Amino acid sequence: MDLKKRLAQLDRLSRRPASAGDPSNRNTQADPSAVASTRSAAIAGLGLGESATDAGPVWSCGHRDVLPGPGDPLPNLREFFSRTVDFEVDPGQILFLDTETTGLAGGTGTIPFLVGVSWWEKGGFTTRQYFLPGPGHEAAMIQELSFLAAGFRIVVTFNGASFDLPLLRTRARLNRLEDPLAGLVVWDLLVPARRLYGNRLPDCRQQTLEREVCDVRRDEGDIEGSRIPQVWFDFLATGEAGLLPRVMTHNHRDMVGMGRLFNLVVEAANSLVTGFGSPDNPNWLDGWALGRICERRRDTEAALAYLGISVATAPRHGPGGLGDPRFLADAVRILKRGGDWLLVERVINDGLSAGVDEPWLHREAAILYEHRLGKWPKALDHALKSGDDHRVARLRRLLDQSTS
Amino acid sequence: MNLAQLLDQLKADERFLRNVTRWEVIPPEAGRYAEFPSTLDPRLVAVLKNRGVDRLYSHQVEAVDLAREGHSFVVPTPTASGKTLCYNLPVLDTILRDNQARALYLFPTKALSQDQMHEIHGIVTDLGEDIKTFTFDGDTPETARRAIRSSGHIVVTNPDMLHQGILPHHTLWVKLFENLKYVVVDEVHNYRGVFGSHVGNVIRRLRRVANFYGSDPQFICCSATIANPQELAVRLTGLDMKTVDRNGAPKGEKHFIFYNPPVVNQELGIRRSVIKTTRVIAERFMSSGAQLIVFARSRMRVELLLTYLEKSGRRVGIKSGEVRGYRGGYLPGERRAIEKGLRDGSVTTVVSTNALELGIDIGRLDVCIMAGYAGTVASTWQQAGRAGRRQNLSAVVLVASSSPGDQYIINNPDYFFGRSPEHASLDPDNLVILMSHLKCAAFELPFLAGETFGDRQVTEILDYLTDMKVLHRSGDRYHWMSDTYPAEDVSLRSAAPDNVVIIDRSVSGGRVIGEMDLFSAQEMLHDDAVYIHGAQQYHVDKLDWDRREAHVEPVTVEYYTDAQRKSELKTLTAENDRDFFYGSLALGDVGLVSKVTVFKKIKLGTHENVGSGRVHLPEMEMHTTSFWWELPAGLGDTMAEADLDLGDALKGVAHLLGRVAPVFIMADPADLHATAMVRSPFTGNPTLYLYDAFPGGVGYAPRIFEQFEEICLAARRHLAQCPCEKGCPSCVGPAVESGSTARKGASWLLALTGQAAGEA
Repeated sequence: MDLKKRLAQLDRLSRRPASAGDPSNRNTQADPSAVASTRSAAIAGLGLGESATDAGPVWSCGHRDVLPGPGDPLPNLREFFSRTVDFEVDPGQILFLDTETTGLAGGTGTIPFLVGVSWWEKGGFTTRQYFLPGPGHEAAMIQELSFLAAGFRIVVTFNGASFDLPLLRTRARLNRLEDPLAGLVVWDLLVPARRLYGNRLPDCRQQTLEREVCDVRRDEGDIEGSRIPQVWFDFLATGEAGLLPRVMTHNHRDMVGMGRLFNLVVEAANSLVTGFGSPDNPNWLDGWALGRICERRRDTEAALAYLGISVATAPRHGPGGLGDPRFLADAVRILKRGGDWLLVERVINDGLSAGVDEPWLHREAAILYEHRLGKWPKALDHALKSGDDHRVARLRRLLDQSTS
Repeated sequence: MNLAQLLDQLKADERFLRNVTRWEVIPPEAGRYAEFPSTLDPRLVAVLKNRGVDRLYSHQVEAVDLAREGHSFVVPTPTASGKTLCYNLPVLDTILRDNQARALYLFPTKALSQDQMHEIHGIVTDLGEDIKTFTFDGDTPETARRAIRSSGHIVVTNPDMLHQGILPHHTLWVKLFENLKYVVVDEVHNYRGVFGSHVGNVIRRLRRVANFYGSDPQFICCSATIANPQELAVRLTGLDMKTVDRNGAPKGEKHFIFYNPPVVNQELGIRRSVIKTTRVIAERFMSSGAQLIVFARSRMRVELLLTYLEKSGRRVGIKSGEVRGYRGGYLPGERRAIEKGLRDGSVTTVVSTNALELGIDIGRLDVCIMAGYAGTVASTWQQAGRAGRRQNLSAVVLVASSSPGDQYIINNPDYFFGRSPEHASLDPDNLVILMSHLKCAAFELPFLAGETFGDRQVTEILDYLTDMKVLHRSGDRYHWMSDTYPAEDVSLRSAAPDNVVIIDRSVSGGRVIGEMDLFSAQEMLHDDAVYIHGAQQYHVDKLDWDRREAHVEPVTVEYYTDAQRKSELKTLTAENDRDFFYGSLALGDVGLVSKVTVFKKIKLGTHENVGSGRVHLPEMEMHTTSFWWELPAGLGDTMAEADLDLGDALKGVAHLLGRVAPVFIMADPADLHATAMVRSPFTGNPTLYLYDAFPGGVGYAPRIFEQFEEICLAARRHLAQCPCEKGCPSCVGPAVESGSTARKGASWLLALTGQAAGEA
């Protein structure tokens, strides 16, 4: 029996099959020259242009979207990104980047076959997408990215700090090239997204943020991320574009979405300086998020102001607003620093009447009534509910003494 | 009474001596020493002198010289003979000269690599130089990994971690791979069979990645004493290897006693149980105050012996806390505590599987008793090496079981005490294994057309994987083309990648008491099994196969359970064949379906069968390589004329060969299976199969195909020596299993091969 048959047989019998693909797809051998000519047509159909570089041909296409950038220069964004910079940032120095890859597994064998990069230019948002028609053209693409990145100082991604950028670094090393983005400061939008919206959204995926915060929906012409690797594998095998246009659209929307999210971060940073952008319609959730951010940078006064607006406008019934234990905990903690004990009392009572019947809240109430407001019977009542035996014993003693 | 007095007493004990087939006194040996080589960095020499090492053993100097000359080499050496300096010296010397230099240490298990860290850490601390040594394994916290990758001079890991955690992420390890000067592979004799075949390929991948970064490391291998350490190391690393074969370490006097339990049933050839015999012998040594290690062949036997020896201990005044068990399935913390207890003397007796055979540091004990032959001469010597503090008197007792392998060794002590007869084999070109690692390698770096993998041409396989759309060829390169992470699907050990977790439900919320591979779990953790852990019996209430959980509760019952696995074999293809004195021999692929169907309840103490039950678990499917011996069609009729039954004879020969052959090919008897068919659907004739008990096979069957004449001869002699009448577990199997004419028939059949071999 020849080796090939043996391999096939071993494959069939081994418990884990050799290929992750659908077995029915196998052995459909396409004629290589036919594949090549189909492929050229498909590339042209995708609107990709070929340009020659020292390292070989590069395929790319461009887009321009109406998306005004933030004002120039940017406010300080140190509350939002984990990497700080010691220079004033001009929006034109920011490069946005997102990759579509052959998998999420990480490691050396994952290929970024589509790399989108965008920047603000002349009042609009310019995007360029680099596409690999095969794995052999990677080196040229990476070099092209290096040249492009040289004109920027900051790279903005969504979760790229742990995925896209290490992947590009790995691929560069495999091609014996320098990391194309080595000189840029990395700003990952996932960090501010969590700080600003983590308290109100079910998750912080980019599409969730776009839908819930920017009110942008991606219904038509997009594709689920998990299906993307197979689209490229199919293209390599058949030369047909298949669902590639959707992958390109998906990547393009990711780029524009990052631009929008970045603008929101800048807006939030500005409101830290100037107060709420729109005092007519103060949003308790924004106040909460901004209050937390101010607390992080130890700006108690601002934190108190934001939380003050937030508790004043938050819903008083139902599970949101003062009925949300996370919000209540932040509000009580921050407001206590202000020393307005009647305000703290009101917030605690609002929380209790909104249905938050948790020991920690009773404990806060007991402390407040015992030490700040001197209302021992109320303190005892809450101490009993919080299950704090020491406090109960002490308060009983105090009450006995005062009655006798 | 001390150990010397006890040995004198045993020497005068007629009843004891009656069953001793050999009492070998290995004389003490003075060490051979040499001065520190002048090339060695003086800082290193100063540190060693401070630590009380005034000079080196001759073999350590030889190792330093070979390393310095740029050779890769293997050091076959017994346990505790200063082998670690054979690699630590060259590695530290190199790093002292060049702070960029890096070394990678591979130990077969995680426990062992952590243990080795202590030693090298000590020297490095004394040196006071900037040399960083780290263990990198599954327990290494994420936060520490970055520092290890960039600044670890010596990275200590195991093959599994190299395979899944390091090589697929090699771009994070640039510093290591660019400057990799040495790879140390300890305990190489463990890298045989399926594990070795995997590791051989992991090393191919390691060298390939190192070459990508422009380095070509020297390999330093250490091995227990086997016949072919050099061949093994060459096969494993794909490099030319020198051998350091003169060991200069001193040895104390050692008494090595071969003990064959007496035959208690002449007719059935049944010997006294190895467990009971071991218990009696161990008790005598326990009373002498000696520190003792008892090796048993299975987890279950460890637990049985532990139960017995706790009782024995109480009789001779040893508290039960001083008697401990040790085996896979105990949690790491429990194991560390036992190791420590052995070192500080608070544990006086330990019963262990071969888990303690490896170089885990437990100090050295006085006495080693083996309940059954360890399966290979090399392992037996390693286990024996656990006894014998430097220059002190020590004793080793090998108690034979009635299995043919044991009986062969116990009756042929020269085979054991002569020059090591064992050849370790591995087959890195096993197609299943090779293909798995080619995928991992392609994931790590694209293959260039015409590139070899180790020294193996792989174009055909790469093309096949391209057809399967696992790889994609673009120009002269093959690229990985799947959204999976191939190393995740490949386990280097025979066991399946996932395990069954054992949960004690009597504790509220449940408590995990251990885990077990799927194959063993089917046999030991099926519904209603009695599982013994830490001498505590547990009843298995439910084995939830889909969730890989066994729910158990502690019980006290008077029995344990023993499950039976039934297999069915189907021949797929023949690859090779040749003539034999009688019939013909072939080598090929077979498919195997096996299933655990029933279990027996066996009474503790008497070992009688007190009940049984059915097991309902899914089949396990496997594809492997097999050797087979096809006999002529008319054989059955010819035998019938001599009042012999072909079926009985074949069963008998299968039983015998299945247990004699492993002795020659350095296989565990459990790794090689034998089965016979009166009429094989494939050959159409009476056929006897011997096959590798691993998917894809790992080189055992081909060795049998080559050495079958020799194996037949040994089997025939063994049968002639067996004192039973109609067959026993030690030869053709008991008559109740193999048939009343099995022994006669097997002799008749094997005699045919003898005539042809020119014997009377």
